[in-house]
Amino acid sequence: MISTGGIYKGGATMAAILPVAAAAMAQKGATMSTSQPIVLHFLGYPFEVAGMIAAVFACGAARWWIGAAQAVRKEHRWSLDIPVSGIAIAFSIAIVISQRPEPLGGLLYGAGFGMLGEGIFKIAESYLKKAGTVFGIDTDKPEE
Amino acid sequence: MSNTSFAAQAVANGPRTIAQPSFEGMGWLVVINLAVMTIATLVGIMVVVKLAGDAWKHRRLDTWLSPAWIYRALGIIFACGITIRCGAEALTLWGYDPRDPATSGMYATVKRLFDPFAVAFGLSGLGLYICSEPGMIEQQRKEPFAINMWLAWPMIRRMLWLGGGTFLAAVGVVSTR
Repeated sequence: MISTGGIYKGGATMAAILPVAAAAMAQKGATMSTSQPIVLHFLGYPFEVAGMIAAVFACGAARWWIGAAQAVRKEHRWSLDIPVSGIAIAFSIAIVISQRPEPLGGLLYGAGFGMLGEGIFKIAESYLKKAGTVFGIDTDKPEE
Repeated sequence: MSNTSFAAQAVANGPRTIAQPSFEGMGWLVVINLAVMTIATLVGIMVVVKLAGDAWKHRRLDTWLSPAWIYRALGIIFACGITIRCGAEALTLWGYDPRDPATSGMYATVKRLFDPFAVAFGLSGLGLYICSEPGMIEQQRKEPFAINMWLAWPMIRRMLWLGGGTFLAAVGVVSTR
C-alpha cells in the first residue's frame, strides 16, 4: 500500500520541467514595454494564454485534488466525475475566451466553476441514486 | 483614473514592471514565489477542510481540551494562519498589474490588513501548544508505541500532485504574460 515510487516520479518530472522553464523565461522582458503577452486564437476569438492556464489549473485543482478521493467519486468516475469535470473545464475555457480576464480573474473563474462542478456532481449523484431505486438497480443506499 | 490611495499612487508612479518591482526582473523568482504561495494556500485550505470535517464528525468523542481535540485544534489554527498569510500574498502576486494601479494597490493594502490576523492565528497556536505541552508529553509517554507516519500517505500524495500542478501553472502564467 505504501509506495515511495510517486515521490521519485514526481521528482523526475520536476527535474525535467526546470530547464524548460528556464528556457521559456530567459528571453522575457521584465517591464510592460518589453513584455509580450502571448495571445492565441480559438475559432477566431483571441484570448490570453496566461489567463487560460490560470483558469484551467484552478478548475482542475478544485475538481480533482481539493475535494477529491471520496469513495463515491471513485465509484462513479466514468459515469459522472469525468463528464462533470469536463463540463466545468469547458465552461472555464469558454468564459476565459469571452471575458479575457487577467491571470487572477482566470484563477477565480476557474476555481468558481470547479466548485460549481462539485455542486453539479452532488445533484447528479443524488439523482442517480433515486433512479437506481426507481428502476430497481442495486445501490448501496436503497431506502431513505 | 484617479489613484486616491497611497498604495495605488506608488504602483502608478513606479517602474512599470509586470511583477512587483521588488523582484528586480527575475522571472524565476516570480515563479517560485507564485508557486509556493499558491501551494501553501491550497494545502492550507485542504488541511482546514479535512480537520474541520473530522472535528465535526468526532465532536462527541473528542471533548473540549481532550488530547485529540488539542492536537486537531493546533493543526486547524496553524493551517488557518498559513492559509490567510499565503492567500493574501498570493492575491497580491496574482493580481499585480501596473495598468490597473487602483486594484493592485488595494490588494497590497488587503495583505497588510490580513497579516495581523494570520499572526494572531500563529501566536494563538503557539500559545495552545505551550499551554498543553507539559500535560501532552505526560499523556504521550503512557503508551510508547511508534506512530505509523504513512497513514496520511493518500492525502500527502494529493498535496504533491497539487504542488506539481501549481508549479506548472506558475511557470506557464509567468512565461506567457
